[in-house]
Order: sequence, then C-alpha cells, then structure tokens
Amino acid sequence: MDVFFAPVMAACVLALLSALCVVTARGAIRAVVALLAHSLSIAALYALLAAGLVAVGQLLIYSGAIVVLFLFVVALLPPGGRELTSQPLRLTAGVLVGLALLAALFTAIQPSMGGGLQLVAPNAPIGSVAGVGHQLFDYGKLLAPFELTAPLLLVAIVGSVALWRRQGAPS
Amino acid sequence: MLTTLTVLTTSAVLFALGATGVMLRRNPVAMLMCVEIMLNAGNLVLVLGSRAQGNDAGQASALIVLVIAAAEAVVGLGLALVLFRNREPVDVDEPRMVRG
Amino acid sequence: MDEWGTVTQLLPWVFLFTLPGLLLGSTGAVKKAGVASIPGVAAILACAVAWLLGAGQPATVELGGWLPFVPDGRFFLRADGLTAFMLALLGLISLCVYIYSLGYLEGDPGIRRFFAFMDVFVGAMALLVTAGNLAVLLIGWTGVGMTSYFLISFWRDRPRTLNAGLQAIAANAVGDGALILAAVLVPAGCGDLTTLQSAGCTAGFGGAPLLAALLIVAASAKSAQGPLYFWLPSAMAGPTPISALIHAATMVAAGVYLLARTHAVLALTPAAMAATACLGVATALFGAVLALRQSDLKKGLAYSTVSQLGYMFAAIGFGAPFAAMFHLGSQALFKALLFLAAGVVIHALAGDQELADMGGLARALPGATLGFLAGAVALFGLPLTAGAFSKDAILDGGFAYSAPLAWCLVAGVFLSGLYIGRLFFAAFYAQPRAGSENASVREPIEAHTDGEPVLAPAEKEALLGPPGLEIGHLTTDAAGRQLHRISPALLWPLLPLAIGSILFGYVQFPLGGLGHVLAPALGPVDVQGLASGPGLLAALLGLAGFIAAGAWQLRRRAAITPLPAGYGWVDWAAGASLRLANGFASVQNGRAGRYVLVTVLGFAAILFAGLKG
Repeated sequence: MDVFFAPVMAACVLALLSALCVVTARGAIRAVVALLAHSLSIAALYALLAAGLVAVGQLLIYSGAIVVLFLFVVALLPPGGRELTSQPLRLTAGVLVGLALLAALFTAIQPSMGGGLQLVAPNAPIGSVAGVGHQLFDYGKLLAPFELTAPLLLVAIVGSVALWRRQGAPS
Repeated sequence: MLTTLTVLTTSAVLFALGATGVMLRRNPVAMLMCVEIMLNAGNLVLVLGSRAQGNDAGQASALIVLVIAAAEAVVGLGLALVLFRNREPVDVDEPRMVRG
Repeated sequence: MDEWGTVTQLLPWVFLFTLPGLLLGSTGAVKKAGVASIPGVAAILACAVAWLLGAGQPATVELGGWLPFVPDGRFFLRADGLTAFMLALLGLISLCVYIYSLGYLEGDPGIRRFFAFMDVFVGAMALLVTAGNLAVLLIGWTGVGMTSYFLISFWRDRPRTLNAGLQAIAANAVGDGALILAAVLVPAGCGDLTTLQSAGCTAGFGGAPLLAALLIVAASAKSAQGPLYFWLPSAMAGPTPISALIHAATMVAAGVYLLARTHAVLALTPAAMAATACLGVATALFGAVLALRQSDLKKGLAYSTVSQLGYMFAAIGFGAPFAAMFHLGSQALFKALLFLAAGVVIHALAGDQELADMGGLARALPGATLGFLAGAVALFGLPLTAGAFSKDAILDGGFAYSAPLAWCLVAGVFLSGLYIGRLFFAAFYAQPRAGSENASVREPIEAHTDGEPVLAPAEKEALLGPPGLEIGHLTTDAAGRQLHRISPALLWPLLPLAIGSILFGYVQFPLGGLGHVLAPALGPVDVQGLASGPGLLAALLGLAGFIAAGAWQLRRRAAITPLPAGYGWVDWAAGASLRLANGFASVQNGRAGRYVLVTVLGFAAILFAGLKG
C-alpha cells in the first residue's frame, strides 16, 4: 500500500463531504464556504499525487481567485436565494438522473479500476515546473491550447463588461 | 492500486454530485458552484492520468482547464448578476428569457 | 484575326471595366449621376458578345503565389464559354438596369452612392464568373454578398430595410463559411475549379462527399434554396432595379453557376446529386405555393425566383448542367423584365407595392403591361418562348433521372402559370378594390396638364412617398388614383429584355450555339427540343394555369384574394406546419432547470451507449 494512501483517503473524504455541503447548502454563503473547503482539499489531493505546480495553481487561481469571486457575488446578491427545488417530482428525477450518471461513469472507469491503471512511484520525476512548462510550451504538445486561452480570457472579459453595459448599468 | 480506486471513485462521485446539484438547485449562483465541482472532478482525473503515464501532459491540461474554469466563472457570474439586477431572487425554474 | 485576339486577351479583365465609372461617378467628376457608369457595363457586354461571336478561345491569367493561406493561392482567372455567357447576361441586364435606374432614382439624394455600389457589384460579379480557382471565386462571392447588403438597405430611413439586409448577410455568412471551408480543406495545390474532381483534389479531409456538400450549402445560401430561402423575399425592401439585377438575374444565379462549374465534383457522389435534385424540386414547389399567397407584387416575384432557381438546382441534380445554365439565361432575362415592369407600376404608384392597391392599370401603363406580359409568358413557358425551351431541357433531364421528381416539376409549371397569371391580372386588369385610392396619396389633387401642379409644401410632403421621388406630372386614372409620371428611361430597357425573353431559346434551337459554347465547361449537350411529350404538356399546363388565373382574377372585385375552393389544402398545409412548429417550440419553455436535467440525462445515455456498443 502506498505510503500516501491515508492522506489521499482523508483528502478524498473531505472533498466529498464539502461537495455534498455545496450541493445541499441552505444559503449561498454556506455553499461558498463549502466550495472553499472543497477546493482546498482538492489542492491537497493534487499535492499528494505528485502534481506540485497544479496544486499551487489550484490554491492561487481556484481558491484564491475564483472562490473569492463567488464570495463577492454572493455578498452582492439579495438575501433569500432559493434552495433546493421543492417539487418532489423534480427532486426524485434529479437524484435518479444523478445516479444514472454515476452508473454510466462507473462503467467508464471499470477497466482502470481492476488494476488496469498502474501509477508511477510518488517520487517519480513528474510534476516539476520545468516538466509542466515543457508540456505547455513545446510545439506539438499543448502550445496551441495554451495560446488559445488568451483569446478565451479576452472574450470572457469583454463579454462580462458587455453584459453589464448592455443592461444600461453605470459601469 | 488502492489510490487509483479511491481517486477515481471520488472523482466519479464528485462529478455526479455536481451534476445533481446543477439539476436540483434553483439559484443560478449555486448552479455555477456545482459546475465548478464537476470541473474539479475532471481535473482530478487528469492529474491522476499524468501520474499513470509518468509524464506531465495531464498536469499541463489540468492547468489549462483551471484557466477555462476561471473564464467560465467570470461570464457565469456576470450573467447571474445581470439576472439579479431587479434585486429579487432568481428561480431558474420559472420560465425566463431563454424561451424558444 | 488580331482583333479577336485582343478580345480574348481582354476578356478575363472585364471585372475592371466598371472601375472608371465608379471613380468618375462617385467623385462627382461627371455631373449627372450614373451616366459615367454606363460605358463600363456596355463595354462588358460588347466584349463578351464579341468573344461569343468570334474568338472562341479560352483565355487565362495567372499570377502565382498571391494568397498564402489557401492550398491554391494564385490569382487565377479563366474566361471560357461559360464565363462569356454569364458575362454577356451580366452586361446586358446591368446595362438595362443602369438606364432604368437613371429614371427610377431620379432626384433621390443617394443616387451617386447607388451607382457606386452597383459598379462594385458588377465588378465583383464579373470577377466571380471569371475566377479560375476557389480563392478568386471567394473574393467575387463575398463582394457580391456585401454589395447586395448595401443595396438592400439602401434607403436607410425606412424601417424594414436594415433588417432585410441583415437577413441577407446571415444567409450569406452560412454560404461564405461553407465555401471558405471548401477552399481550405482541399489538398495543397488544389483549387482550380476545373480539376477539383480529380483524385488528388478529392483526397483531402472528408473527400468528395464533404466537398460536394460544402459546395451545395454555399450555392443554396446564395441562391435562396431550402431553409436558406428566407432572405430573398425580405430583400425586396430594396429598390426595384437591384431586385431585378441582383436578386433575380445575377447574384442568385451565382449559386447555380458554382454548381455548374463544379458539376464533376458533385457527379462523384450520387448522394449529393440526389440531394440537390430533391432540394431543387422541393424548393421549386414550395416557392410556387408561397408565391400564390403573397399580397405584395415584388414578394410574389421573389418567391417565383426562389421557385425557378429550384428548377435549376434540380437540373444540376439530374446531371444536366447545361439545362440549368440554359434556364439560368432565360430566367435572368424574363425575371429582370418582370421586375422592371413591376418597378414601373410601383414607381407610378409612388412606392406602393401592395397588390391590393393595384388593378386596372393596363390602360394607364401600357408599356409596363406589355413588358410584364412578355415576361409572364416566358416564365410559364408558352411554347416557342425561351422559358419553354429551357424548362423542356430540364424536364428531359428529369425524366432521364427520376420520373416522380420530373412529374413534380411538371406540376410546378402549372403552379407557375397560376401565380404569374394572378400577379399579372391582379395588377393590370382586375377591378381595383373599392376605395383603393393609393395609401401613399393622402388627398386627391387637381392635376394640371400644363406644368407642375400647385401644392403647398406640406401637401408635397404628404404626397411624396419615397424621399426624393420627383413629383412631376400626376395623372388620374379611371379609378381615381394619382399616378406619377413615368420617364422614358424606365420603359426603353424593357424592350431588349422582352425580345431576349421571347427569343433567347433560339440560341439553342435551331442555332445550337449555346450548347456548343458551353460544351467545354459542361460536357456534351444533348437536348431534344419541344418534340418530347412532357415538355409540351408542361408548356400547355403553364398556359392553362395562366388563363385560369386570369379568369379567377377578372371575376372578382378585390385584387388580392383568399384562395378559391379546392386550394384549401394550401391553408391546411400551412396550419399543419404551424402546429408542428409549435409542438417543437414547446420544448423550449424557458425553464433552465429542466434543460439541465435533460442535458445530463442525455449525456449519461450517450456515455452508456458509447461504452456498451
């Protein structure tokens, strides 16, 4: 058994619990706090899986920026946002579809679970900044998607400004 | 091997949980949060995959997914704020502007 | 002979002939707007006709290495028989339309802008038909699309025109996208339109079927076929001269031209041919049915154009590109004629296009009546007119390919007689609707026969209708309507078009000239002439439809009509499709939660299916 197994298990359980809190939280604020916990536990998981750069990225970008953005927006919202849908039919349908999705996903990961996926040792030379950098910037690897995220971010910025301005709000 | 089992199961359950949350929550911002959970689940699998392959391609992909999640959160929250401009809570179950 | 050599050298460059007129006209160097542009189009006509009569040698121009992003980026022009035929049509119809526009837009403040755009359009269209490879074709293609938008939304102060222009752009965007994809997906070095069907050039991504599909989509967008037809009726918001030139004769024919040029690529994929044939037949029929329901004269002609283009697409699908081009020629002539005659009527009524306000205009506007009649008989194919010969050629091809589709087209000929007869008799002979003193004329005015009528500025304003329309003489016709003066410039261009509509068929029968000219591009031509049974039957059916429409219109008072008994199926079909559409639309009920549920369920299902299967 992997020496890291216990921490991995702990981080997974934490991630699951906090995700459950996000889904079932009574108000938006509680959901955001649960999301923060979730994102931190995922960062821990990345670190345990020998993905140091991604873990720091998760901390900085995800917990530090995205979740904080959510927090700001929730703070700006009027109080009393709706909770889980109250129609029992919708609730049942939603849970059933979720379970169907879970079943489909398990079917998909079946081959990997039965020993089909071998992990390299935790101290293998992966996860270094140089390594990830090579993957991102080498021609023929992920250079094109990396460059394309730039216009993506530009579109997101312009789009969100345009959204607000089109409604005639003071910018 | 147990690590694989745990992480894969976690990510599958997280994905399904997030999807259920998106289906069942009525507040648009809460829906977005559940989408973020789904994104994290996918990222987890990518990182696990990179550890299985022994190279960094999965981790680089995970970084890019992170950027995409950021962009999507920005636009989604902008939309949610615009919907909330009337200072009243939004219920996505009510027929709204996306009527065909 | 040396002068033929000069003509041959000159032919690929005719797209530049409108440039001097554009420069002189738009900068105001020539006092009277539009006159500077006429020599340019006359030169195009002269050059093309000279080539057709004498030279006969194809000419090419090739400047290599010009566009770096496409597999074949040469500036490559090729002028052969097909090109010269299209250029001759373009030259003749644009010459008539230019002269017509001098009278139609007289006094309009934007007339210089109008002629400038027209010059750009004619240049782009000439470039389109002279193009030897996809890259240059694309330049002409987008050029005509852009100028079409500018000309549709020419009268910027009217409410509908910008919307109509944007609809045209939307449809054109689909077509342009498909054509650009086709241009970049072929292997390196491939782009020459005459070798696209070779094995090397169809070896790219998707092969010949994808290439054929993209070409069909591009052509359908430009020629308003199938689901992409919607922009053409809306484009009638533009001035009538451009409806005649662009949306009847030349630009909408560019789609048919593209498919005729690349017919060998389509022939490689039988499914593509079948799809084109079915698309053409379906469009021909629904265009004809919709034309019967129009209350606006120009929209009725627009749907007729959609229907006739469907005939051409069907011909391409049947494997008879010559028939398609032959019909393109006759449709260009008679449709332009119909639009120009309609324009005379609209001009007389100060911009009113509603059939309800027309009726009984034959006595007041004899020239327009005769012109419209000539166009109408050519359209439904009175035996011995151009339309009859070209429709017969299409039907010959149809019966060789698939008898059911061909019988559908024969039924369509009857419908075409019906709708054009309805338009003709409603506009010119039927009793005008009681109280139809024009909507555009507020009060009856005493018309002075000597000099301008005396009007206060406010009354002038109320009378003017389209801004800039000169007031001129007003005459009162028998129904008490005020009709504006028609200048001779509006009537003279009708004559050559009328002659062409009737006699165009003789370039093929008995001279055989057209087939000979087009054979290098379209393959050997074998057309039997009106001796074949279905062709003659179709011509007689068209005539029957026309006469039936006449009887129907003349028996009634109002000019527009609910359909008579026996046509209730048209209303039923419309109602049924509306109910079907509402059923589909109810899926979009605005509840985001439900959308997500369905999406996730679908995703799970796909995942299952993909893994199990």
